[in-house]
Amino acid sequence: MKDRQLYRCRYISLHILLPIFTGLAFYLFIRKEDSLFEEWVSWSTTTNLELPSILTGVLPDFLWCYSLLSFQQLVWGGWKRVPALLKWLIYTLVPFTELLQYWHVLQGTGDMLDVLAYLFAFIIHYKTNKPLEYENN
Amino acid sequence: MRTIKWLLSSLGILAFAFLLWASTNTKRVVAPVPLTKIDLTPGVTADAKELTRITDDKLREQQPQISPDGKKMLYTIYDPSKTDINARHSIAMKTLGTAGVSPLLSEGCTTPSWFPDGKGFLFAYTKPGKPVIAKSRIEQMGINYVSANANGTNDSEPFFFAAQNKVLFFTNIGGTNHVATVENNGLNFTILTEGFSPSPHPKKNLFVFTKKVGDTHQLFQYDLSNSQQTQLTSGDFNGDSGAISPDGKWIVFQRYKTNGTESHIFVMNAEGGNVKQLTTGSTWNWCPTFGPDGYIYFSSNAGNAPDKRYDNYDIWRVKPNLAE
Repeated sequence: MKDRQLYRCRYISLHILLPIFTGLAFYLFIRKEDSLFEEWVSWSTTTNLELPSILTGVLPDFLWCYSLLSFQQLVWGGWKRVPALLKWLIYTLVPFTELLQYWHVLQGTGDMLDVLAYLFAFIIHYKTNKPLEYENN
Repeated sequence: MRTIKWLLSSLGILAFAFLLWASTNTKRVVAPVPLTKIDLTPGVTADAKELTRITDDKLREQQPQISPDGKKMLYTIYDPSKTDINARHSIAMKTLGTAGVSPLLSEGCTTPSWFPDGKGFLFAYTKPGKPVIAKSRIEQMGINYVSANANGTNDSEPFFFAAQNKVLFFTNIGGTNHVATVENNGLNFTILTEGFSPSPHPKKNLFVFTKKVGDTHQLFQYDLSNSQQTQLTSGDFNGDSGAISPDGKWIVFQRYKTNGTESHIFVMNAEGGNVKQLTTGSTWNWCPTFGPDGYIYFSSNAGNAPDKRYDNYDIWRVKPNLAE
């Protein structure tokens, strides 16, 4: 039982919280374009670290998408147990948000690279979602 | 139990959506208005005439600046299709009255403004990540840094400030925009006031700039000879992008409502009175400037198809009626 709790804690930390906070850190400390986050906390990025904007632009989206998938896996006790409807909703709606941005329905720029980041997150998660399955088997 | 799981799943999706929304850029010109209902026909009021499109292509042309002899126009071209956000801006020059356009500087060069001799110009160079103030000559080209390094986190919109023989610009320090000057050799970085988008008087020791007042942006004038700031615009509308006429008697600016879909060009006298609206309709008109020829040049999405509403901006000009 203790092992199980430890496992869940480690899973939540590594696969859900760490990607969220790493993505946030990119916006707060590395990405130079001001975001709403930064406006709310009256913060502006001041780092001298020069990373390709292609990386700072898509990595947070990739990490947050991976975190969302990992969270669903945790809630349903394994990716195979996530209802098919929910899986396909996520697989279609998440990239669709970029299309809505491109059409100016949602705020944002609508970048094809973001769509690729989501697809990459789907693939990475699909290929590495075994641990929690083992726990429930 | 299954209901709780669905509830938790939904919360996860909402949290993801919130993260995406909160990470969007604060600087945006997007409004959730049905595109098919927008009429982008250009229009002017009785206080303006001769509305003419100066540039016409599929990118966004913005921040026009007319040379002191009135023959050439520098402006920024923004290409949103480039993946590197620091390389989307470039600077081009057009000889007024002719068809051709000369690309001058590409990849991260933006917001040009002329030196008084009409042979060189200042601009912001964003390619290094942290923008720096730079200068170039029309005949020689190339990028020469004014300051060796960035003065703040967003050095922008430099102008030659004749009364001080310095470069006037704004930058972000500690999350707040400040208007500042540096010597022409980049030394003696001096912060003047909180605010942004400064534009110097052609002769006097003063400039107009924008400052946040409550939830709106308002235009101010800062007279450095007596260190006095005067608020020029007020009310629910935003006053932004002020520029002083060559004779120093008029100020042109952009006026819009927060989250609105229209922005129009206005003029007022140097004291903030005799305000006249020049453009009308559902268009977004911004970054106006006076030319020595008496015209006001600005960037506008007028004349575009609704589905290209935010993709295509061109430079237009209009002749204002400046009778007192």
